[in-house]
Amino acid sequence: MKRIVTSALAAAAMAASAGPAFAAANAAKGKSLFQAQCAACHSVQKGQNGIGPSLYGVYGQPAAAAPGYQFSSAMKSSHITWTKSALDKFLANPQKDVPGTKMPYMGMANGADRQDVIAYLATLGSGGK
Amino acid sequence: MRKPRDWFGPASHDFFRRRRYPVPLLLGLLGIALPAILWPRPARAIPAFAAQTGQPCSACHIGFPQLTPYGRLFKLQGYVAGGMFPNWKNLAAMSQIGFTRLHDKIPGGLAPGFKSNDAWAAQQTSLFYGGALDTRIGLGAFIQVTYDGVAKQWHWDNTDIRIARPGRLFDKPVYYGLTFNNAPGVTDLWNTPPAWGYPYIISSLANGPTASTQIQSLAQAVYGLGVYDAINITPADMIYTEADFYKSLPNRMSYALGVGPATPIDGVIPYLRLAFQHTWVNNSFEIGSYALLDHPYPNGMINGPTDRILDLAADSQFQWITRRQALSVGANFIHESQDWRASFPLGLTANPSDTLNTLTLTVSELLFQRFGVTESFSHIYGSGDTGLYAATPVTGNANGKPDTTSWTTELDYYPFNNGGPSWLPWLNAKLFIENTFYPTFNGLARNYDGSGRSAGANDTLFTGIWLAF
Repeated sequence: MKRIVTSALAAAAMAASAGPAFAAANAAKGKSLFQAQCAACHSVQKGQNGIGPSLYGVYGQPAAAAPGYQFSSAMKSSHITWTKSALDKFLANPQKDVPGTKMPYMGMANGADRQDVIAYLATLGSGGK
Repeated sequence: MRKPRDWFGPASHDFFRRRRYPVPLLLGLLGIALPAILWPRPARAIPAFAAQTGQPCSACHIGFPQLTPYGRLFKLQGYVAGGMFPNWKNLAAMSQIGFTRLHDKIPGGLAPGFKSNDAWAAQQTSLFYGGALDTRIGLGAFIQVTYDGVAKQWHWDNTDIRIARPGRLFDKPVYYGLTFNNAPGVTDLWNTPPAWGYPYIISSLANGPTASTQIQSLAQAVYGLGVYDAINITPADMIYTEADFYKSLPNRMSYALGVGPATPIDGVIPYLRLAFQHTWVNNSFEIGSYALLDHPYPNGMINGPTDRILDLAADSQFQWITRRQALSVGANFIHESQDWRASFPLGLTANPSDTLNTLTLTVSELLFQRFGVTESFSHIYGSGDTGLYAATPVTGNANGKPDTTSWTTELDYYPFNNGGPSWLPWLNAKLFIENTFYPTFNGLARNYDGSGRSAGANDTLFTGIWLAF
């Protein structure tokens, strides 16, 4: 019971720290989705790149900015800034949004799920502003 | 198809006590591996695809050629991720150089121009184009041309040119595509069907069993178009379907492409594939089925009545991949129904119909992206038919049965998975030693060919290097 209460408080804290833009989103659920769908390729630790770049501080940052990762030329020339709407569009269908990106993820169809993941991403590192 | 011998069992101990490795072999392998050990570089990968994606080979492969979930998506989406248009980095080459030792020699030579045992061969050298052709429309290709160092000739090899598009179906993410390819199963995303299944590397000089299923026999003997799609019914669950329609190569084209006389088959050959994949964190599980139906002409004929052969298969794969290790378990079963409606009346088979079954179980573990071990069990069994399987020295089946059982143990070392040498950063390599043990071969354990040869005489030690650059 104590563990459940602690988890609920942590989830609430994460959602709150994500800011008012994510009031309807659930960062805790987003973290769960991230771990199931994204963590095999992406770390959330600063500077820890894997198959994909570290997503520490990705929210609000320009695309292809993660240090030490070799981005595709498509991503480098995309001139995207990872705002809520930009992330939403990319996560829905990466290859359609940025043809030639290294990320062959098929896409997250459910808009609410995307919002949850974005809310979680906004809690990471220097993002979330 | 290839066969094994128990690596750690008493028979193997005896085998290695009696047979010492040639010193030049060991020095040669060490000479290739040593520079990479001493001068590592940041990770680079499978030549053409790695150059395009900038990913280490471990992103797409467990060793190679087994695909990871990332590798499967890369293939599914038309080999275009990370690229836009062709450039020189999409060209690559590969060579397989190995030493073959059978338990007992083969009188007359392992192959024309080769010794009767203990022979080296640069058995396969291939050139590739791999990657994007035009990413804007999802067009990419895997094209392989191979020089067979045993047959001494060039031929076309695995080819898969595809166009893939993203979409939505019932509000679920979908990838759908069109493929031109030359082997049933070469398009597959899992390493269970024969086209990319175990054994991943076999000695061209070893003596293999007589029987093989039709789906194995058609590789590069056909060409066809296919459509496929993958839909994520949930973010973690994917259903994959594919339908291909092949034609056998015309005789002249077959010779021109280096694959020898055509395999005459009437009409269109349909191939269907259905698979379900569930992924969670670092794991994936697949279960699926595939089928192929064709109407080949009886041996030596190019028109008239045809036989009817149906392959039905079931397969499954589990993978657990972390930064430090990768585990892969695969199973594949093919049941072939052979209706000799044309061959039997001509006296070419002893029965009006037969069956042939193949079962392959494989477990692979790769540690630290460097050290690999694979154990595989293969069992071929089916109807006895003296018209199909006759007594012939070395290659025959004295009791008319196709049954062959084998165990294969493969040990691998990948010196460049965690860093290539400075003088050739795109180089990748697999140093391998593979031992195949046959409890039964072509129907029997002893005197299987009617000339006194035992199954164990074909036990094979195959060692060498697989280079890609």
